[in-house]
Amino acid sequence: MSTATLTHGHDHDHAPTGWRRWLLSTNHKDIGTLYLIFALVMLFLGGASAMLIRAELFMPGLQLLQPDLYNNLVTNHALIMIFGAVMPAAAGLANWMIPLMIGAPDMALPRMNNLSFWILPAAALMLLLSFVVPFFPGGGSQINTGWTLYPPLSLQVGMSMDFLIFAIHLLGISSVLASINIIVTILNMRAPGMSLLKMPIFVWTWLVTAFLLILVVPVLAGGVTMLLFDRHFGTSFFNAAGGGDPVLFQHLFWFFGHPEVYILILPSMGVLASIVPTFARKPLFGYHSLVGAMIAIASIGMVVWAHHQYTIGMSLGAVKYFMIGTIIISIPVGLMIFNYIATMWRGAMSFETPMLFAVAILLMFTFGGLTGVMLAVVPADLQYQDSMFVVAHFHYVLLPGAVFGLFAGVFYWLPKWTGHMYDEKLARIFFWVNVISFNVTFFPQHFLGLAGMPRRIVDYNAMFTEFNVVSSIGAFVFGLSHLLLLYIVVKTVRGGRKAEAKVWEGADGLEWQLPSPPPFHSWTTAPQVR
Amino acid sequence: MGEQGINDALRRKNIRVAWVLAGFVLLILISAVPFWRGLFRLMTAASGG
Repeated sequence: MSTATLTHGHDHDHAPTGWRRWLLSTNHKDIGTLYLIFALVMLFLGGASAMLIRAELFMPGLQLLQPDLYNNLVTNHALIMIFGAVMPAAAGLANWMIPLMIGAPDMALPRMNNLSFWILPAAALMLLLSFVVPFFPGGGSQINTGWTLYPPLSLQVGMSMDFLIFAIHLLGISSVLASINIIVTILNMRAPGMSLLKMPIFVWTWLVTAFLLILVVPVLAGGVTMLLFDRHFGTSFFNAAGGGDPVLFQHLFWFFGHPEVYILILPSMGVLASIVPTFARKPLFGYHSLVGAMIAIASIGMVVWAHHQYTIGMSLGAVKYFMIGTIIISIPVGLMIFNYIATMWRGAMSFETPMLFAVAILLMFTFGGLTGVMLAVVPADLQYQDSMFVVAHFHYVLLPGAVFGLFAGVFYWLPKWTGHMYDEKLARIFFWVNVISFNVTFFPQHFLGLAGMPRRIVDYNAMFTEFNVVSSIGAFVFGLSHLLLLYIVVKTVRGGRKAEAKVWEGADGLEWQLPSPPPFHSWTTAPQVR
Repeated sequence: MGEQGINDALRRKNIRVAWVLAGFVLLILISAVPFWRGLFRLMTAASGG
């Protein structure tokens, strides 16, 4: 970790006021805040659809939802959570923290930063419209494809699919612009003396993530554009009747979709790299190996996409390649986990809320990774595929690996952002309720899947009732627990004990040398990194 | 350690790198269609499809 000397000159603290401050903002902190607020709103929308899904699955038989609406909700839950909640929240952390961590006065392209954010509400509107348009006269059928949008089903859906494709284009443009900005900021705007290998790991994770995004998002954009052409302009990329093949879309989709998992996870792993050394009061173990592991995860993660498609009838050679490649990824992922554990080893640990989340993430994400290795094995996957086991697996990967990491980051940096300490007691209650109810929700789904319950179905055999009841009760508690998160955040923003510049005793890095909250224009004087 | 801001030289450098990256994105976008169709044909041929 780097150390710095600084002379803090005068603060040019001329923050604009009113709506102009937010709509026309080019300030990385304000745009970071906008991203985080947007993500929180979308988290509640995506969470509401998840709770409706679990309410329907509480008992066998049709309870609340018709099958079409159920499928619509399954689709919108995934798309809202991935594109609306997790990615913008991670971008919010990046906007807030990267310039502070590398000693830059702002992002490299501040106006483009504004554009990246303000495309998002328009995209979200398109996304939400795609789910509600079918309820209007002439709106066509509901989207029933799931987030994967596989043809031929996606060729048959009504106009709501066009809204969705347009939303994906907008979301893609936003992500690519934000990624370019992040890469340029990291490459060009570092403080004197901060070489690439002195950057905090959180910045490294974002550099790798941003490169991943610009490599895979255009492929998704190409894929959905081909889908649009098949739907409206007479092409047959994916239409078997015209000589195309729907499986081609699966390859295009998963070339984006699998790296997307790492896009969601890596920033949270970067957050852990800040939190664990702080609360273990030890330097991060194996900095260079962590950087290498991240690059390995990103590189290998880009060439193993077809493990999502084992059952489509690939050649034996292709299947073996994708299986072995997928299992190999567990090596750099395991390395990251072991680095964090080694950082804790013999540390003077304390367990404030960010550290509680960090420990929980290491346990639960590892569990999700282990079921991932099970799913990577082809003969086993032929049994597990499209079952609730897969649902349990990816929620164990994405909730601890991405969402809990973001929660940990929010608790870790909230005092820095607001200048107030959050209510530690309430935060710990939130942690325990959140983590326990998460496990109550998703652990039983492993058994449901192994017993043969398929995913993405509105009704199920009565033999699956008990585990579904438990899972739904867990889901209601889990969903409602986020109201407590909202309360804690609002309470902290409004007031609380004053936070010092260096909020945490063991914290290290440039961001802790600025006051809490940092001035509107921070690092107006470049720090010298030794 | 002087006043830090985005001066003209740095601004130009930032925009130059951004354009290079944008060109890279465009290249991937445009090459995606023929690349994936070709790879797909190769894979289906290998599986006897």
